[in-house]
Amino acid sequence: MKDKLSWKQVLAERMPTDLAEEIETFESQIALRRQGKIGEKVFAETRLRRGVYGQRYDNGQRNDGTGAKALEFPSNGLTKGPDTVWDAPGMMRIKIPFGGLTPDQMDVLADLAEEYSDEVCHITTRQDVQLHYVHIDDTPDLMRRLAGVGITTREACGNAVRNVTACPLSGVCRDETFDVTPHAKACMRFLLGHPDTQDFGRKFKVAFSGCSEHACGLVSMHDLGFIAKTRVVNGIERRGFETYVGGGLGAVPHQAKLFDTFLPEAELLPIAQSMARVFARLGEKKNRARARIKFLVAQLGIEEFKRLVLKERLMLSPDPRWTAHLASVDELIETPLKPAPPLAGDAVPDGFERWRRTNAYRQRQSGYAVATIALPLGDLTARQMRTLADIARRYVGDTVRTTVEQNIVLRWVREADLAELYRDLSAAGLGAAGAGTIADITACPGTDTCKLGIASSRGLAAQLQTTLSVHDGDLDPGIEGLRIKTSGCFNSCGQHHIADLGFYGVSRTIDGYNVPHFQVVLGGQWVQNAGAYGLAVVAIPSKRIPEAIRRITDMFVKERRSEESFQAFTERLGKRALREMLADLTSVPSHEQDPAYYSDWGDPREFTLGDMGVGECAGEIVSLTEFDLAAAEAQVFEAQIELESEHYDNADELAYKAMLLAAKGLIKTEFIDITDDPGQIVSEFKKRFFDTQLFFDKYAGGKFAMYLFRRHKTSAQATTAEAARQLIEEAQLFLEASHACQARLAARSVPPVPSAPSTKTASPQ
Amino acid sequence: MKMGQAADELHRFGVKIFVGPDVELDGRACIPIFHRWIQTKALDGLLIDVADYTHLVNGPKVVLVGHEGNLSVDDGGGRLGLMYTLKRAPAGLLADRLLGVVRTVATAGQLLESAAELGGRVTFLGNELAFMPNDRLLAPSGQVSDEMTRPTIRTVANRLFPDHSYGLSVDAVSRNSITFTVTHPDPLSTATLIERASSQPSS
Repeated sequence: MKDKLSWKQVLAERMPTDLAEEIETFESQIALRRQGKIGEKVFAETRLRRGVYGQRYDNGQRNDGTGAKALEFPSNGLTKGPDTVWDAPGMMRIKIPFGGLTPDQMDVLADLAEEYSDEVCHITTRQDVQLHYVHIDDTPDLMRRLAGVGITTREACGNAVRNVTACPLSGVCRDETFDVTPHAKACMRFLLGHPDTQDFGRKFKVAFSGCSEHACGLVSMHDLGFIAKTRVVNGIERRGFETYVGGGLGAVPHQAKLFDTFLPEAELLPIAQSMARVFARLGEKKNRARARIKFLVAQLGIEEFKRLVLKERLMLSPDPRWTAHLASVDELIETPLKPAPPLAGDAVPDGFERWRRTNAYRQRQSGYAVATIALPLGDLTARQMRTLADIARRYVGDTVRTTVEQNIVLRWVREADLAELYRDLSAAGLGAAGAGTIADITACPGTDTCKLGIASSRGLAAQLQTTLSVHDGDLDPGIEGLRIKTSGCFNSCGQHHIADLGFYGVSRTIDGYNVPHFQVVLGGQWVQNAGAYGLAVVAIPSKRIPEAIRRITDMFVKERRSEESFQAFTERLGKRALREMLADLTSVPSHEQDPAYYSDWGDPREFTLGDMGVGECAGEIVSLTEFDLAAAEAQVFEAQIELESEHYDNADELAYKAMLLAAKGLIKTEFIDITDDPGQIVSEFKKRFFDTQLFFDKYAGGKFAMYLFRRHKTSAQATTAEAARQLIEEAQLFLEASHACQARLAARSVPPVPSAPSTKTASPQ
Repeated sequence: MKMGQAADELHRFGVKIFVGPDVELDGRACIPIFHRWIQTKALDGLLIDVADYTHLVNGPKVVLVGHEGNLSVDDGGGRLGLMYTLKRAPAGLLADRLLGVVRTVATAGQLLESAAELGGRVTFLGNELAFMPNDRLLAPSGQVSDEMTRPTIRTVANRLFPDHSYGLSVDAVSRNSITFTVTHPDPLSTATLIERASSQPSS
């Protein structure tokens, strides 16, 4: 019998040997797992390191709107990780270093989306491409087809160096110091699979930026970030990098610390390697919640961390790869597909001028522009991807990049071709204007596909996009340039911390029903490489977020002073005033009055975090708890006000008290006579909610409780701005966990009883 | 491997039926309907979730994700319709699998035609079907795939249109999947399409 035709056979000559071998190994590991010869935890990390990720409902359970139901996958008990059913569809993350794509690669991505996924390619906030609803058995062939065009999924997930990102304008930007593309590429190649990067406690993200001022690289929110700098040494201009370490968003965001004002380019890779070694050796391994390098840097202090890294550097044996790429840095510069002719002044299609204003960027190379394809929610269909590949071939060649704003850019478009390009893009449904405006919304997958999602970030973003697109072209200029970013939970994959208007999903319990809400996060800064992080102001029901945005932006237009930035405006107004302006939007009509509030955007199922309900008896107790939780929220907010006023000790104390109050509220469900004594609260909370794991988050475990325990142990001391800010973030998360815990407690009771028509407020302050 | 054998290896393909002239099929309105189908197990196979892509064009607008395959409201190629994309199925003859998918997509069409939310305004053309192999290993776009798959498509078309007076066109040039379109001049209801796809065993 002849062998069956296979991708392995067909692509044998086209796959790099190392990638082919890795995929072969992974396929063997799949077979071994099927035979039960690899444990599920080991297999889970194995697949994650190859970009094969879990997806919502992969535990085989889904609430179909009438209750939790089993999804009867034919897996026969086989799992691909703890609580993860083998046949459940998953997500495939595909690393696109610095976002660089060629048309041939785009064709393959389109084919893979059609054959193995749901015909949609999704661009992520870290320049990756993600495919959803992929079966694990299809992943080896999927990887082979990617390897055939030079793409690897290795270390796209898991505790490894993730995609190396870079400004999508690198090399063509008018303001950059120099093109960081060759360095980003070299860094990616060097760190990929490097022995010193295989023993991290958590993921490690690297970013490059060509300048300090703009947002593109988002260096400040990365574990390791490089900003291009030059310095004249002995009369010769040398390239190097302002280097930052220990940044990150996630539940508790950290601004990266300055490691070096000028790291010579030849030292880039050895220093990255040295950091990896220090992180692997000293970073937390057991407690995932404290395992990012930002915690190690915070714990050691940047000076001590730097000392250890430099000491490590001295111990490294020289590696020719450190500098091999430098000889060809200047040769790697892109060249245009076609020479730039003078502008012809031909007639332009309708809508072109508007599109050109927002979507075309004049390159520093005369006669050329970068065209941005504004992708709604970062999505494009397989057919669109294929058409875009053809368009790229026609206009620019291999100079396509994905962006952290979930768009795609075509670089080196002749300005004379822009109108024709716009026509072609529009014909493919890719000619939307508004790139980089308030209507160009970033959203993580949220409850659509992510296991951790609380509310529908994509549903909200789609709704906002629809609302804002109505005003296409006639928004106030001050508003048009604002950024909206939405996340399905506090983990900030949608980067809500660095938006002008950020939102992250939370849940509130009203009359025994869960109601989807979003925390409104204001004060974030997109420019200056994510220069500042916003803080939560108030939680508002999902269905009222569009109105909240309208109010905030109207107020900005009305009360803005001259050229005042949105960030300066919110700071001047103060969070208290902003919160008061939004206060009435926190109310939720009863379920009978308006059931629409009890489902999420784009999803008609009744919103739920699990089966839930509340009986009369529990209801009384829960209402006491709700009261305490609401009061705790007010205290967190007060803490923010104190932080703004630079009263850091007060901010710290209020955040701590908020956690105590929330804990006390939960304790009341079991022990009504709990006192205000912090020692008793912590002790009772630990006994009743931590040791019993009642407080544990399904995925984060007990990490939020640790925020209270750690602060409780710390005696009063002079607090820095950063420490106060961190405690406020932690208190906010502790509160969210308390709300979730309360919902779980309520769910143990009887089903909800329809309430009389009334208006309820989740956070009555 | 002989052509017929290779064709029978083909498990991934899509079958699409189109909405009638001047019919609007609002993807958003289909979202609650698809969720309800998951509750009631309205279609064969394991139905998992609903994906909303109403913000996209030239592809799926709303997907009812299943284990064996996906059903989508689809405007790929500029024509709105309902497509079922098979991803995995037991071994057997390709013709049987194609007929099974025709049954599934026609059943879904019939359910949408009668869905209260759509107010009886949606109808599907039972006399026009597109068959799209979705496996570039076994059926890359081009003449080989055409020769390999066309006989099976004819077998299926003969069953669906027993008077054999249908037309079969092939788009093997486009960079999208090779597409076989079968068109019969007489109108056909989804009910009849289901009946014909179910009526005769393969041999």
